[in-house]
Amino acid sequence: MTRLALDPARVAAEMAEFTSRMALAMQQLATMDVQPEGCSARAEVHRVDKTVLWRYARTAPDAALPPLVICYALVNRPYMLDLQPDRSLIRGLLARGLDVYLVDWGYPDRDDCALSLDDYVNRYLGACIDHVCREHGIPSVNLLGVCQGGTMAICYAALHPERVRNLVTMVTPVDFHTDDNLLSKWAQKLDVDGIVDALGNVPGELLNAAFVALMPLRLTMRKYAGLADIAHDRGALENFLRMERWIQDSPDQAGTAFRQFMRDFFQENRLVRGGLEIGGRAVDPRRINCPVLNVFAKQDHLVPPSASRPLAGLVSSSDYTPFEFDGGHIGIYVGRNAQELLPRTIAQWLQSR
Amino acid sequence: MSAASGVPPFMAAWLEAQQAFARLAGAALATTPAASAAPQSFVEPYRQLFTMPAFPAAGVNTSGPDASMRRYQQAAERVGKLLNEAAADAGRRLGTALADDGPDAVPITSLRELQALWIDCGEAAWSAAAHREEFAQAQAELLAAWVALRVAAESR
Repeated sequence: MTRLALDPARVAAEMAEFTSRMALAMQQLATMDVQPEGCSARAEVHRVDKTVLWRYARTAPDAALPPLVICYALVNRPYMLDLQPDRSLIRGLLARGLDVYLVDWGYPDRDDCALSLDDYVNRYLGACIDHVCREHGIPSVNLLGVCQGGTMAICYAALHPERVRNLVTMVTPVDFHTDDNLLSKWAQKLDVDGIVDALGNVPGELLNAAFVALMPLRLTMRKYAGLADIAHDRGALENFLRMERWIQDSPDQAGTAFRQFMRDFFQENRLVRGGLEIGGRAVDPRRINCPVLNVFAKQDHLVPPSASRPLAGLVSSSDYTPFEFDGGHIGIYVGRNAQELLPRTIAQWLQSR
Repeated sequence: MSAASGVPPFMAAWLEAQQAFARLAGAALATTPAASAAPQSFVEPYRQLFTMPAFPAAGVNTSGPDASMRRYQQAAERVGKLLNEAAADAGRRLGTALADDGPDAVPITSLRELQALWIDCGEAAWSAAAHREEFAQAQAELLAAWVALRVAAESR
């Protein structure tokens, strides 16, 4: 072991310092109370069952653009987009004069296990977009889909192209069978029917375990040991705690919708291969001919760029813009470099259309 | 300590991880300056960390009916075998990295540096194992067996 040049005295000092810092960090975390449910002023403007449509209060002069409706994933909670004042995509969009709405699916419970993708895409998302169109007296909105919410937004736009003026997708899986998509490789082997038949709704903890298992050392060891480096920085510890709470705040998945999403997208890749139906209607992405901005993250371990890029070849839009963000799946929301870049990119793209 | 004992999940995960690394650090110190450490010293902490997220999160009722229990045990053994192989591979990778005496090999003088290398080698081994079809199948079977065990236990 020629590279190992550890001096016992130095290692002992390092361990003592590390232990001391970790103790301090733990002590601080135990006394903190962060409220991660979003930080920007907003009001509930529409509700269908557990799905709530939020409208954010304007913070800048009106950019005179159609309202932007954000469709988040069913997995995890949408306040990641508005985590804290200095880490908020939504704040960035508001600061550029956009009128921002957010679709919040809530927490499915046993009453919801029969909810299907038809319910989520056509009934809930559809009702939210109808509400915005009605309130503003407009035929269509700008639609921003995030992660799985982007896949759902694509489906909605394919089914209701007249309702979507511009489509923005962020870290959105489209082709679920690319070679570097580890999550998809695992999902393809799952007995989804057995799981849903037995469990009804799928526990959020199960999904979290799968996400951590993608990079088990980085997502436990490296992350938590890093607390020692921020033990004296209360603000950084609050950021850490906020993020951890978001990670653990993982809603259960409505069984029927989970079954459909796993089978149709992860296992059979129907958005790319064809044959996708939602609510008895064929979902043909070629019906999407509005301008499309596809934002993906270069180091995304959950939705690799290879899974997002194929959207270009699926839609019939002549106005397609790919945008590669230099970061990961989470960094695209909360990374320092994302705070200015992402809202500016989205707002400018929308303004130029 | 575990999440079940009331420790928040992220702290429990960290504590388990830190204990694993402490064992590694102990092994590394025990072999310094002698260059005789077997990569085996590094394998067990890897195995424990790989195991943590790979098994279903919810508890298993070990008193389940025989057939479903046997299925679960077989599935767990199969996954366990693959995790052991991945951990052994990680240990080999770390051993190789530590033995590197090429011109670009930087001496490791702190636990922080050792930990970074340990994690990189572990992730590389994990990725190589986890992308294999055999791994996906074994993991899927483990989950299916866990579900079947739970159903059987509930129907008794």
